[in-house]
Amino acid sequence: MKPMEKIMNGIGLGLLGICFVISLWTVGSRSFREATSDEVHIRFAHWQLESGLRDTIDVLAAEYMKLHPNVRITQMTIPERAYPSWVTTQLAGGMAPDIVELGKGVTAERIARYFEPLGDYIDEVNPYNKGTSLQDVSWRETFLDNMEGGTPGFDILMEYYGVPLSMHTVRFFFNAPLYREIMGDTPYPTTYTELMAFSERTLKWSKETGRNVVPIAGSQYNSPILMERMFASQTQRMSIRQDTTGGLRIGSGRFSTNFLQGELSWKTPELRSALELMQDVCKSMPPGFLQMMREDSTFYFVQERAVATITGSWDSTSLATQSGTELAVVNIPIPVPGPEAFGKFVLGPVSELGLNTSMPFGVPRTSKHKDVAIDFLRFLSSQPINTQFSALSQWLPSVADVPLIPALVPFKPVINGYQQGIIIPTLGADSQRAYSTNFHILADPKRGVDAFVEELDKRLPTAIKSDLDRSIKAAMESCGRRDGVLAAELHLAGITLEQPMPNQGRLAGFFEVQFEQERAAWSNITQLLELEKR
Amino acid sequence: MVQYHPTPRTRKTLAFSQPMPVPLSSQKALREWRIYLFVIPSLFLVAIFSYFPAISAVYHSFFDWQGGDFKRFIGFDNFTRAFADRELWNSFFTIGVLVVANIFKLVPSIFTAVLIHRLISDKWQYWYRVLVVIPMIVPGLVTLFIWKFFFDPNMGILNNVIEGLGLKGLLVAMNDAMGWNVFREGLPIGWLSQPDLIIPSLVIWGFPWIGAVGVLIYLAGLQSIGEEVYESAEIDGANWWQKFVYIEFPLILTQIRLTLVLLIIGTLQGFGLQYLLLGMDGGAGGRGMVPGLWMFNRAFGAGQFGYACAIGMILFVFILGLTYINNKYVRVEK
Repeated sequence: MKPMEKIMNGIGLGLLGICFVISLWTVGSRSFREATSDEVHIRFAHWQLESGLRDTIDVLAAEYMKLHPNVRITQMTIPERAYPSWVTTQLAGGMAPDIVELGKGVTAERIARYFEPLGDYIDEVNPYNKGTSLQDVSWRETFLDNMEGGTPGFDILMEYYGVPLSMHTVRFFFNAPLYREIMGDTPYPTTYTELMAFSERTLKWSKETGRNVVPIAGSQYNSPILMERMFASQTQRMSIRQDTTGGLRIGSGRFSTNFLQGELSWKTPELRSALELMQDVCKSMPPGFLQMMREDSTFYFVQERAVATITGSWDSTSLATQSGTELAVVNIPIPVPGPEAFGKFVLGPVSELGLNTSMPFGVPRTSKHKDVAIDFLRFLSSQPINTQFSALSQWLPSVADVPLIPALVPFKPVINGYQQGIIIPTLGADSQRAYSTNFHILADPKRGVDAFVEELDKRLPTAIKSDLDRSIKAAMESCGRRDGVLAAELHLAGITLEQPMPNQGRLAGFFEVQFEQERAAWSNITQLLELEKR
Repeated sequence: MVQYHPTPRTRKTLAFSQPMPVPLSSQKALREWRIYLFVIPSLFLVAIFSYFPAISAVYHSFFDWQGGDFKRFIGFDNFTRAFADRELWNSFFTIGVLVVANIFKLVPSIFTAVLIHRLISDKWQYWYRVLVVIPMIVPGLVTLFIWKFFFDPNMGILNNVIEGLGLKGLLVAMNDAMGWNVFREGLPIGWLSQPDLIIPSLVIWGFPWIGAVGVLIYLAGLQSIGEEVYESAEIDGANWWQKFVYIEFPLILTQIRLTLVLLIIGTLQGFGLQYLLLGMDGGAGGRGMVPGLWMFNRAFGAGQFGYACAIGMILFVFILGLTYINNKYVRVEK
């Protein structure tokens, strides 16, 4: 080896060695610090990349760290599309952060398996509410919906696993100057007929001026929100007929089984009308909107290529910041009951009273600092901090007695109105897929309702069966998992199965849920078996 | 005409002959056992990160498993189900079309490599190589989003170019004559929202299909061709095309075979392009569904992890089969 080569090799080896030592030091010192100091590191993961929210959480985390100097909170933001696979692998691998946002891949089944139940905490008061109107109220009851929105799949789990921080409503956003330019002094549409008049006028104006502006910015992300509302408007009356239990709510599970049993079909006048209405709405969206993603529709709106867009209150700050113009926020106009277009099956405007809280966070069982994580969630969901959260992020609060800032007033849930109709029967991933991959047929003006129905009739029954089968398995596994816990609770309470069940609060509640879930699963199994026989 | 002038680097390469490797005797191998210790860390990492997940996938493909601690042994049920899964076989058809299209998409890279190789000026050769490599610096995701924007029906470059060149009328006329029902007067072309245009869009993606890695691999092959081969060809009166057909192409077949294997494996395994352009369901009509995406959809969309593992196994067998066929029949005669 030549001397020069030796020198160069020596330098290379030296650099490699230095890098290795630095890496070793960085990793080692961090591990050593964590092992020896009493610092508690809490990782807080979510997918909310909307403008203002991350900064808000940073501010609130800094306040918590001031109160608890031994705690360090790190915020982890994961893009929405990557979140389901990311969180699934983190949970399955036992590496999940200490606080994880629920939903988007964190299904009811995974919640039951991986997350800490909060039942033991929620009946206590939240210490951070001291000195407020909620200081003597249990943590659960401080939430606007008694914490029900905190757990996706609550109706299956009947246990509290998540702490919701916000609440969302969906609205139409109009670019106010552009709207005035096209519509003059005409008020913003409040009914479906007015919405269509706005749409026609915009399309005409676009042709006349050559400005290439569409009425509503649609995409794969936001068009389903509008479509769902339109569909539900047509099934309002029908849902009362279908609601045999008087619960004012029919889940897509019931709707799906009714569909399989032939009680409902696409020939049902209400459903047929719902499809026609959705086809009508498609005309107001840009051509090819089904290939567009969330960011595309936002781009259309902020670039003034669309006069309006439909999205949730979560996007209001982002839209205001990015568009830099005056925005008008309007409730979703649905058909008016009566002889007007699509009014035959409508009851009236939908009440948002039954709306649940959202943006829930849970604590995985693998967290080393469960108590601190839960304490941080208590802090975030206390009245003063939730007030701060709402004011800084401009997101609706989840806690009672939190005053709304003026910018949030248009998003305040509408209390007066009628119940929401049944939504499209998408029970799970397969029926959702059967519906969404064929929606292009409905949006195609040359094909339309009949062709769409023909395709759905071919694919939807198999898809619903597959989803139903999966939901039965999940319910049975959930019941199986709880059987042991219930047996232990019974044993501890000194109750035998021969004795009648005493009314022991939570224990009795657990049994009720267990029986109800088993009943629902067996009912679904029976239905599936009956269908197989046909 | 571009003439060939060997570069000094080629001459230098030819001047040094490498000594032939001597086979290691088993006695010597045993005597030097310590050197095998150096391989252990790498083998350990490969075993953990490559073989363990693969073996775990084989194991889980025999279970009804939703990704958690509950699983039920169901024998070959997942495989039986997969063989009857219309969606899976449709996705294999789609991937078949894409594999064939991608094989044709190798051609521009080969010609680009040949053109760069034949440049007389070393300096220009260097700059062209740099120009080819620069796009590699741009993250793949950015390229993908730029292409997604190209396909936008209302603002995208593709539709603007088609309109600008007056090709839209021609496409509409062809559409009416052939009954395609995809190109319509007064409506922009929905490249990713029309089921029948999804596969063509995936094929168009990446135009003009000059892959930096491919060009560099072919260039390496071309630069190992000896100067005397070209001199002999010139004495025989070979023109530029004959030099390509009889000298360059046969002598870079090893590299072509390598890229072909990588391309087939990459195309069959890949689903990132389809996922980002069309979403988890494969877009309108599910036409963009490929086996990898279907595996992902079943695992992370439907929570059927056991079934997804079985799809992965079927995909593995397909890739193995195609690689075998490729190695057996795409022969390099030297």
